[in-house]
Amino acid sequence: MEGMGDAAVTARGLEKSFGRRKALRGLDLSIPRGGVFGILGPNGAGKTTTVRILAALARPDSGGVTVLGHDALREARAVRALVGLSPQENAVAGRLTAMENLLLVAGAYGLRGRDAKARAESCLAALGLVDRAGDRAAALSGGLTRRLSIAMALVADPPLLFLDEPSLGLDPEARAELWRVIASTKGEKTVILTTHYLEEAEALADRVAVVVDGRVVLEDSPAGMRRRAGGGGRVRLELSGEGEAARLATILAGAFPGLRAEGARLLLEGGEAAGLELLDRARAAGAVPRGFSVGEASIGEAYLAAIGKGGEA
Amino acid sequence: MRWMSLAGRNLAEVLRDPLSAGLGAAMPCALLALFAALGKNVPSPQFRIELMTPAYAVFSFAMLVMFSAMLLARDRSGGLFGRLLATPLEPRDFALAYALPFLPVAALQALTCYAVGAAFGAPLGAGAAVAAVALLPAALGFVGLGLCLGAIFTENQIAGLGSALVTAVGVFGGLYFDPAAAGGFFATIGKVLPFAAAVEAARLLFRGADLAAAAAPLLQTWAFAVLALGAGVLAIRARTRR
Repeated sequence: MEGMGDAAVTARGLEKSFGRRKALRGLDLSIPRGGVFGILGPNGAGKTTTVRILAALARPDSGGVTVLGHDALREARAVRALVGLSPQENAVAGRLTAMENLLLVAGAYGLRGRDAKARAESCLAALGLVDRAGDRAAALSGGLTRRLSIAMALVADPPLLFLDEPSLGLDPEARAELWRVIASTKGEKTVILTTHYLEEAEALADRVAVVVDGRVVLEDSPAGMRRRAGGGGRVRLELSGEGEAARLATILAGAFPGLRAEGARLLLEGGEAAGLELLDRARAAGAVPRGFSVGEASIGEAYLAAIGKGGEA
Repeated sequence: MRWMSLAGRNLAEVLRDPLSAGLGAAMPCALLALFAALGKNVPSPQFRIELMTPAYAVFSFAMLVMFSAMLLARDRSGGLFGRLLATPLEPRDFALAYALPFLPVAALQALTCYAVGAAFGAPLGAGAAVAAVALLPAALGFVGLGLCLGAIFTENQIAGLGSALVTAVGVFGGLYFDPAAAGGFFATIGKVLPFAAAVEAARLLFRGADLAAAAAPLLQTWAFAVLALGAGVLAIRARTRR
């Protein structure tokens, strides 16, 4: 959210190479406090490398990072005391119970005794794991293990959370519950999440950065990304091929300013009325539409444009 | 004392794997029982129970290589080690947490071997206690070797390497035969490696010799322990380097 206050995390000019492969090429980020910040990007874009550097788990080749007022390169331990991480893989101790896993992480942050137990119980309740507290982690399903992994990131009550693909493997109900938990932290914590689910970024994030080839190519709020993608209404008319779409875009350009062809479909900013008129005119021009929809623009189009698949962002 | 929560977990991992823990304790005891029975029919000095009991107690420490290596390798491959790196734990915390929990395991293994030895007539006097305590550093040395393996290799690789190492301890520790009797290259290897020294020190102390009498092999054993544990700590520190 703009105007949320000073930055929780700033990264300037991050560069990182692994052998000859350059993972980060001068990445800049400024993440406001107290909200949810989404990092999107295709596989191999540098998202995980970015998260590892911001969480003081890796050092960049050049550039600087400040996390909650601490230089992440010189005060790494101080940073790690303020950070909770849920990695992409379900990193749990299989032979420990769910409760014991939480106590393990709590202990690593210096929590002991009643405080640790109280925090662990609170996290189990928040993630719907109270009934499974005494079960060994290896006996939990994939989805429950994922929830346990996220609970382990929360148990020390850190002000900054890194959630790497938090919804991976969760059923829709569990995913909705997780989103509720993440949303409930707004204002208290800063959450940085990487995700491949655009709807997750759209539902949760106050701001989103799209990382491509080691750089941030787009950073905006989800509303801003929808505006980039065409605002409120979006008409989509699927045709038989690119040639047909290009032909109709030319014929109908005068009647529909802003009409454009994108592959085998026509896109138009507008509502249902405009869409129905476009459909009628396309048929009158000899087209045989294969599909038709009127809906709100999503951040997906801005994302695809940003990663270079489908026009401009 | 943040390392203690991870140390507690590491101990639980060993104790909650009854098959591995059982095999780790049972295998040396089974070999001890086998050769004790053999010694009743084959009167050879090699099979005297008062020599075999402390030797197999030392041999049981070698099983810690597999325990410590597998635990660390599994934590690395499963992501738990990476998760813990994101916490305020420091490299020394990791080293303490992955090494010290194996001390009670080593003590338990040694006691189990002594119990089996006693069942076959081994005398358990004050020397037995002295031997157990004096050779515990050797256990940490084996843990250090395990941490080196666990920091470098995968679980699949450790299964083979660890087995080879345990076999080497048995052979060059003089459990089955005196390596000096092999002469030449093998005798030299037996002298250089610390396993025969550890077994010799254990045997001397078990039979009531004082520390001065066992000084030479004991010092060689402790030197191995320091070097191996140091190497293990350095290997873990290298893995915790962010």
